Amino acid sequence: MQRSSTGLQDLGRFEEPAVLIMTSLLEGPRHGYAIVQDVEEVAGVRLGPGTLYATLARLEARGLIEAVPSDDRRRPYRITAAGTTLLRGRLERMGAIARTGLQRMARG
Amino acid sequence: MRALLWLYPRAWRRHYGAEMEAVLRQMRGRRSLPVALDLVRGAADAHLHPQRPRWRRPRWLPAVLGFVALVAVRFAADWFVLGPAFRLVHVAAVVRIGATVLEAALGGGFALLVLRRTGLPRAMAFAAGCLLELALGGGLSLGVLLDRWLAPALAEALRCVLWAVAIAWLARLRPPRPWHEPPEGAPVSAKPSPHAPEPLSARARRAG
Repeated sequence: MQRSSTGLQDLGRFEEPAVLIMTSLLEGPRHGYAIVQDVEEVAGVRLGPGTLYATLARLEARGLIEAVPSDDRRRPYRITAAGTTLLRGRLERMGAIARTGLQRMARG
Repeated sequence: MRALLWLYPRAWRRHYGAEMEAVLRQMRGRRSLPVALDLVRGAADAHLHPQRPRWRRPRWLPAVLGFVALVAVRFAADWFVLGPAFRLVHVAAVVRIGATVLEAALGGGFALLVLRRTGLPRAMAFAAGCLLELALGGGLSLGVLLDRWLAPALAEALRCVLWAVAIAWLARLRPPRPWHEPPEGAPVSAKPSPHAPEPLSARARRAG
C-alpha cells in the first residue's frame, strides 16, 4: 500500500506509538513513565517499556523530540519544532480521514 | 525483570538503561509477562535496527584501526589465496574465471562490512566493492598498468590501498557504533523549541 509522505511511515510498527508519544509531549516535557500514563489515559493504549524506548530512540534520532538535561535518572523529553510540524500534518490527515468516514457512515 | 535489560546492546544501556530501570520500577504493578515480552522484542529491535542520534560523536580510532585490519586481511587473502591462481601461466580458463569471481566477491564482501551501517543499501555496497575490485584487479586498464609498472606484491598492495581509499570515501569512515554518550558537560540541546507549547505548570503559575 502506497501512502503519501507524512514523514513517520518509515517507522513501521512504531508509527502509532510515535504519534501517541509526540501527542503526549505537546503538553510539555515528560519522562518515560509519565508518557506511558498519559498515553494510557488519552488513547487507552498500554505502551510497554521496550516499545516506548524503541520509539523514543527513533524520534530522538530523527530530531523530532529531544532529551531535556536533567539530574534525575528519569530524563524528560520534549517535542522539537520539526516534531510539532510533522505531528500537525499527521493529525490533520487523521482528522480528515475520521471526518470523511463519519460523514459516509451518516449517509449510509 | 531488570535482568532483561542486559539483552540490550551496551551502548543502548548506557544511553537509556537508567531511564528504563526507573520506568520498570514504576510499572511493578503490571502483569509481568507482557512487559517481559515487550522488553525482549525491544532488545531484538535495538540489535537489528540501531538508531543514530544526531548528537553522536564519531570514534575515529576504532573505526580506522578496524578498517586498516580489514584491508590487511583483504591483502593477505588476495596475495596468498587468489594470487597463485592468477600467477599460473597454464591454468585453465575456468579456474581463472572462478578466481576472478571469487576476488570480486571478496571485495564486495569486505565493502559490505565497511558500508553496511552507512545507510547505503546492502546490495549497492556489495556491488560497489565488486566493481572496484574488478576495476583494480587487472581486468581493466588500471589493473593492467599496475601489473606492468610494479612488482607483483607492490602492485597488489597499491591495489588494496586504492580500494581502501575508494571504500573509505564511500563510507566517510562513519563508525559502526550506533550510540554514544555525549561528551562531558555537553547538553543535548538546552534551547527550548520556539514552537513547543507552554508547559502546563507555567500556565498554572500564570493563572494563579
